[in-house]
Amino acid sequence: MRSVLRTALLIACIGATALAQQSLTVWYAGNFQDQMDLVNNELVPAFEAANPDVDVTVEFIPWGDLTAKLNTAFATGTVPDVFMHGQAATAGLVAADRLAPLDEYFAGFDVEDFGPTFEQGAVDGKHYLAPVYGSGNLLVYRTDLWEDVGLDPGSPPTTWEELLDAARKLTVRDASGQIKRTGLLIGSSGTAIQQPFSSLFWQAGGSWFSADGTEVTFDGPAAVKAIEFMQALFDPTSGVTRLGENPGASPVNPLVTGQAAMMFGSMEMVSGLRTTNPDVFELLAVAPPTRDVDQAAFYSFAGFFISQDSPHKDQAWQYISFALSPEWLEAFNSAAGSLPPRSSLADAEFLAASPALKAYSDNLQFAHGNPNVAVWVKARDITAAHLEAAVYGRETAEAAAKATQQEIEALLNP
Amino acid sequence: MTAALVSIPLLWMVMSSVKPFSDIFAWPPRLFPSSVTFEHYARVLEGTNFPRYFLNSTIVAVVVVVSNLLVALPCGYAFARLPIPGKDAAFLVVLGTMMIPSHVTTIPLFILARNFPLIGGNDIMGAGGTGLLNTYFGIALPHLVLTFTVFLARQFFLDLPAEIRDSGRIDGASEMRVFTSLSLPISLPIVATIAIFSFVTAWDDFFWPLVVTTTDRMRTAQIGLSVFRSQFSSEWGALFAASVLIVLPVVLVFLFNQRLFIRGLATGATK
Amino acid sequence: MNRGRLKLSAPARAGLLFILPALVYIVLTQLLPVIYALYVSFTDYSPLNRGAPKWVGLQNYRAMIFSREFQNALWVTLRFSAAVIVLNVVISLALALLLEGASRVLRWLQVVLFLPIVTSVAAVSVVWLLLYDRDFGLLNQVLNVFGLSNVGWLNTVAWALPSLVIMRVWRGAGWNTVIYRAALQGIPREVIEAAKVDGASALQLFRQILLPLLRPITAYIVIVGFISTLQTFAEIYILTSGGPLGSTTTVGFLIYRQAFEYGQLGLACATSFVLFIVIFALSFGSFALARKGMT
Repeated sequence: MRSVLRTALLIACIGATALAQQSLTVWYAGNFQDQMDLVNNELVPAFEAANPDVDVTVEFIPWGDLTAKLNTAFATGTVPDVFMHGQAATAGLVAADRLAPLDEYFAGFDVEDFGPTFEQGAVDGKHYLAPVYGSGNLLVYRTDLWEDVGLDPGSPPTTWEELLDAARKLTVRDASGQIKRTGLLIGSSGTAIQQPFSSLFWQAGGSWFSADGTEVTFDGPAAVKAIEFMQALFDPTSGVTRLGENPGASPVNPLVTGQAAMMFGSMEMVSGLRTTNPDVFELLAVAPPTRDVDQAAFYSFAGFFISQDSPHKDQAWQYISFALSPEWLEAFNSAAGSLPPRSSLADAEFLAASPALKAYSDNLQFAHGNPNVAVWVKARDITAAHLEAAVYGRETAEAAAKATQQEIEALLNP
Repeated sequence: MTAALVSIPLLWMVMSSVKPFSDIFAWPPRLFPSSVTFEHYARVLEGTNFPRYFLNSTIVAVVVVVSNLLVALPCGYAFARLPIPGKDAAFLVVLGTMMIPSHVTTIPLFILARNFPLIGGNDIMGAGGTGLLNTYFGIALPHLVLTFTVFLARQFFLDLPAEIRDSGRIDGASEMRVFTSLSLPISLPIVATIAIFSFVTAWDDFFWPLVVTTTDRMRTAQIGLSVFRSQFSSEWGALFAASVLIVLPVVLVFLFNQRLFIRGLATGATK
Repeated sequence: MNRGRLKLSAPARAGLLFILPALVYIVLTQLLPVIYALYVSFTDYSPLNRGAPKWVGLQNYRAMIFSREFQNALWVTLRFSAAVIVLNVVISLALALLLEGASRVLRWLQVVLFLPIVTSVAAVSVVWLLLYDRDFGLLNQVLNVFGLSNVGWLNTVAWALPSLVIMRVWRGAGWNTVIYRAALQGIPREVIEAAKVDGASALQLFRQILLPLLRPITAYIVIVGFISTLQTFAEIYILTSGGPLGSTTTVGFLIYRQAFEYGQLGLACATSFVLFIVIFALSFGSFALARKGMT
């Protein structure tokens, strides 16, 4: 009898909580298996145990398909409460009134620990992005190949000239002059050329837009200088990399095959090699960004946004603040070997274990993010198209800088 | 010789699916594994939700095959054999829709799936719930009647001897009887052709299932495959193993039906 | 009297009944979305924006037709389609004729030939990346054996598009061979026997009997070829991402970027309809050619 009563009571309790339960939908960007396992099997159960009134549904969307899936959701009013995206998407989403400002929530949160990454998701003084993981684009090189040609792997290049010199020493050509090993591998199209370029461009003191994002400031000595340097790297006779490379598509990393001695690489790439090719990983080193008038490198962060249309914004924040706690943020970043946005995690165990990975966190102080303007994706592709034309010798550096400026202006003020 | 050329990439895929990790990264690449391992298959089947994705794909493909046989087959028959006013114009319109890239019709189709009345919590006006989103029927939606299978069926029945229909008519049979008892029994080839074609189409779809599903439990095998090809994970072994598993049902379906399949295409092919 | 004219015959009524479910479905899931896309092509619609899209008339069409990007993409697409279709027709017809006289064992070959089309594009693309590698790829190793130097298959403007064509033909030829085989089986034996009795040579037989009879199926292969090649997306995305220097950026690839990367759905829809007109004109052309050949 008592047990029946107890069961009835239990059922009533479950019924009551079920009634009061809020369901929350969260979309993660990227479908890396270890991250999915962590979130599905540990993070979400822990969150639901701590917040019995919230029922979380998580979905993982491959990066390549994220925009398509999000756009469909926006068009049809099926946006999740919380979704992840890159920091450079903020301005566009804010302009379309799709994001809820998080300043109220951040007020009671230790945002200082997030430092500059926190500001990357700000538009007109309001903050929208809760950074989750990041990556930088730094020079990755094979120390063994450096030693082979008499370079000291302990002192990587600090200026553009030193970079070009080292790359030339490392470049191997066959009898006919064809490059057999690229000294410094750079892709010649798309983001593969635009990201290394942006580091150089910022180092030369350039910027795409004025601080308020209303004016295009691309064309100028900095752009010309950086483009000319890129042209030198791709020069058919004295250059250090080949035209037409597409390192992102390469089935096996060119640093592993020895086709490249150095390349600009992301932290995910280096972490990937840690898992797949531990022997090669041991030989890798990562250099601080070079300096021209400034020391700068391209870094990007992805983070959570709360949908403006979410009826459960408080619960959404509950989830975000839970997932952003130092412990979970460390676990999540350690699963993929990505850069945790908290400065208190700069010495996280998985980083301390590897100098190559640690370099990404050490050089975070030089981080520049993509310009936070609504037209960025298109502006980025315009830049890449003219960079490609310039390194193929179809356009001079001046012409490429000018054309980029004009086309982005047309985009900004149609 | 040709077969050898054609099969090299496929052979490569199969071989790579049983290569140990170190072989996959051997450079220069090599075809044959130094030793055979099934670790990639174990990874796919045990380390991920793949079996579930596989089941989902199978259910969707079966729904698509059945619906194409029930709806597209009679439609093609009618287009070919029955005197319906305006049918040629209608048929042209049907063909024309094949020429619009699916990328631009995704959003309207999604709206339709979401606002499908009386399902998934929707009222008769199609509001209030999630409609066909995240359901098998929703994943199957774009393939339930394939334009191409209607086309194939029409071509097949155009070739069918008119005597069959006429003999039925003389006996006073209804059109339905003529179709089910006289035409269908000799139409096994086109049944096989439609079944294989619609199975493959549903099985291969990636983009629509990705958009229309909202939970891991409902994902299909092709989406599951994308886990192994994110840019820096380099799980090529698992990717190849999963690909072999994905292509296996299609090969089996084709193997057992290839003669019928070809005959289905053959009749009407010269019309 | 009037009622009698409106009334349909019994077979017509049955026919409507047969057609209706499919027609309702096709109108709902295919025609309506296409009409909606046509409407969107005259607006500034972006999935991101709230509120009703603004009518912009022909602006999208103008902006697109006069852009160098589109003109380049259309040119790339047409060359890609033409090369794939011609090679497909020639190779699959040759294979079909070969298989015609072949033994049973050899006929199992067509299963092998058929496999590429049903294999996941994502997976075979990775294999092709390995085969095409400019330093160590199998293709270049073979060239080296014959004393030829390495080719930058996917890395050079000259070779990137041909490389995509080769892979595409590899994927599609088997399917078309099956269709040609089917068509050959549909040709009455007597026709061929009669020609042989008349003393026709193999070449004459092929040119004067087989080719005209195969014209309709060839037209069909050409049309379906146009429809599928003009929309090619996945393998380009994986193998070359449209490069180098835009040499493999097809219209289908452009549409994807406009629709989903830039959120310019209006422009993407306009581009799709221009592509539709091109496909339709080419298809109609092949139909007309086939008709002409038959009379």
